[in-house]
Amino acid sequence: MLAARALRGMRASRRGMSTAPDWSKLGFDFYPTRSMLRYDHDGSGWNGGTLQQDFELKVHALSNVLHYGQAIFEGLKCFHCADGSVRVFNSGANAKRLRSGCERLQMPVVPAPMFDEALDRVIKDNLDFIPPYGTGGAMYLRPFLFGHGGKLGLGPAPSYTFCIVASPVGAYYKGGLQAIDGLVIEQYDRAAPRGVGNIKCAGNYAPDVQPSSAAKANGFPICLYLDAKENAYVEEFSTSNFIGITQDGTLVTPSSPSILPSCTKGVILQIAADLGIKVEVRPVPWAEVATFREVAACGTAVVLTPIQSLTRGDKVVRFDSFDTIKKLYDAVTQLQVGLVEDKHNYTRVVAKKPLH
Amino acid sequence: MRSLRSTLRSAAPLGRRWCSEAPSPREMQLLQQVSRLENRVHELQNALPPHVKPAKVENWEDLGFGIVPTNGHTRYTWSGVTNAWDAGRFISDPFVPLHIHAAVLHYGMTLFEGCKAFRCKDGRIRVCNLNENSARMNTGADRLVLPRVPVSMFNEAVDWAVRANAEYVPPYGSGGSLYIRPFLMGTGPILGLQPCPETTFMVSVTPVGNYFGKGGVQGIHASIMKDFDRAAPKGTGAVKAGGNYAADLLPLKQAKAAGFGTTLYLDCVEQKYVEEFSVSNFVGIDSKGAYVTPKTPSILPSITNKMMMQIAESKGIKVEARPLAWDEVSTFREVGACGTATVCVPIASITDGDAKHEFGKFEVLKELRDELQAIQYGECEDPYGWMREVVV
Repeated sequence: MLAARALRGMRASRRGMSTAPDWSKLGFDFYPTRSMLRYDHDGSGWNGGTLQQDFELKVHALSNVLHYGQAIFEGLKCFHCADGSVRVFNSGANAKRLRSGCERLQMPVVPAPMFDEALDRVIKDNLDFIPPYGTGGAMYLRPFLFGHGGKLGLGPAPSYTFCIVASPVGAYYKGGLQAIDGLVIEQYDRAAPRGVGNIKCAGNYAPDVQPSSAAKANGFPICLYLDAKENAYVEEFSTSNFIGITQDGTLVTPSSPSILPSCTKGVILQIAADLGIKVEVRPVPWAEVATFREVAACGTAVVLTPIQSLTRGDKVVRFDSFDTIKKLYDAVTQLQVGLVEDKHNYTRVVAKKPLH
Repeated sequence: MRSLRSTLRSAAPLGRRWCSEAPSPREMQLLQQVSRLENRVHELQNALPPHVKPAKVENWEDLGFGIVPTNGHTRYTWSGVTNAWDAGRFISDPFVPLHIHAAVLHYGMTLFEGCKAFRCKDGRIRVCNLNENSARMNTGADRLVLPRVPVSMFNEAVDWAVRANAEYVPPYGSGGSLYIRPFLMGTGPILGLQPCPETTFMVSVTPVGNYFGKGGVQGIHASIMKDFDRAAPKGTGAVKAGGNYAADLLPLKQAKAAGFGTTLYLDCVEQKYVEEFSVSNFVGIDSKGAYVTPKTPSILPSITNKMMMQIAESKGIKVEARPLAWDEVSTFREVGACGTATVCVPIASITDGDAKHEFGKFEVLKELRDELQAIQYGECEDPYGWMREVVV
């Protein structure tokens, strides 16, 4: 056990801890960068935050995060752009979503200026770990906030920590877009109607590991959940939102109080509107999905993943055209790396990094 | 010395692939060095004074439901590489080192249990019904894809923690007990959502009195939460997953601000059937004198409730575990909130909007609770075989 860990550590250090990775080999894994950022809240307010080289935290054994799931996270990316600038993408939406989650879980909120400042500090200290323009990679940023400190009965924690960890990640699609098969989960619910499905709290994710692993073993890389009340309406995929394109080219995405509002979806809906695509946000009955021309999953990690089939029990619904999805995917990814004009101020320049 | 360990941890980029290759001679040499250093670290750790100085408890009668620093906790680690648990350690530092990408911090991969050890009338220490806790934790482990904790290891970890903290088991007659908190959490680093490569099982203990303070005697006022759901029908309500609890913080705060002591949830589909109180099961005595407790797939099966049901049956009281419509509750003679921490406290009233239902009595439930506590404190026979002595 210990030896295995030591060996991993040694090999990682042999590869060079604080040097840039091999960009072409990056996947979606944690890669230790130069530093992470940590802010602490003792009940009266946030401290100034410190960059630390140590990727370890110590928390009290009887902390809320370990027992009562008082934890929330975000996910966003920054990109090295065509003009040599480093831009963080759509961070305002993440700050807003984090705030609503903090309020729901009784945690101190992170003010938007502090969120931005934190992102800037982490990005600027880890510039050499940002995949260069042209590699297709990005720097994945993981802000997270949790309650800790000794507490036995259920109640708000005595202290809170907010961190941002960065990890360089590779391009998800090495070639063009690749469509995948989805499975509709009948045995489990993702969230209760008045539960916490609409915030990115830690507890929403562990329950999905079992259904997802079982689905993967059966050849389905992605799972789709229906509403918990009637099992009749589309909620969302395991960790991404649902987008459908109808036969007449309208973009449809479900509205429900228990869906996590994807930040990427916000951008996609805006871009779709800009492209003259009609957008509808409304309850989507499962029965309607069979009439869709295109279906995709959207989220930070992949932007848009085309879904080529959805299986519910014995019934399989197939989708074989992805023209609209492709158009939207290209528009978003071009916007992320600064190839098209950013009319809605989704990107924010944080730093400069020379192009090679 | 901490920096060495943390460097080793942080340097591990989630790679089973790193371990699949055989180590080179140079690596072997370094590994041996690391191993020697680790042993030295353990030696030094044992020689160091505890991180928090254990406070001696002076007034056992005044204990609430908080944390009293103890001698330490037990900790076991499971590795996905070996697919096995280690031998476990007793650790005096109440703080746990975690990788920044530990699954528990991001994805809520954690389960806990609650059980108690009692100082009995004969002066011995006994734990209550641990096999049930062990079984419930393993049901949860399967649901959250965490490794199961073998029942023998569960018992060993609890006994070890209790034995090493024997002086913190409140004396017989004080009304207190040693609260035991076993918990299982994904500690391995993961970035994407997937089964966790390393899991930690820990057992912490702390001496406690009454969960609700004086309210435990006078009765708690509960409020129905119609704006919030506790769990989805096919969610994780039936397992003790950490994520079930954070969701209750806001409803609980709202209820407390309105003068209530706890929240009562209804089913999320129809908002018609009783689910449970925020951290305890609903039990009641209906107008015909039957013991009624709601049963749905999203209620956490309380072990205390199960024991009370067995005691009720042995007394010839009719026991009904079935869906319980909220409308029916107003006809109940007695209502209680039941769980390890609370045992069974009287619910004085339940408020649903403008309607307040009061339950004046707490006789049958009190009798059942007293009998359970008599068994726990070794004041009477234990015909069910629930109690097991922890030899100190």
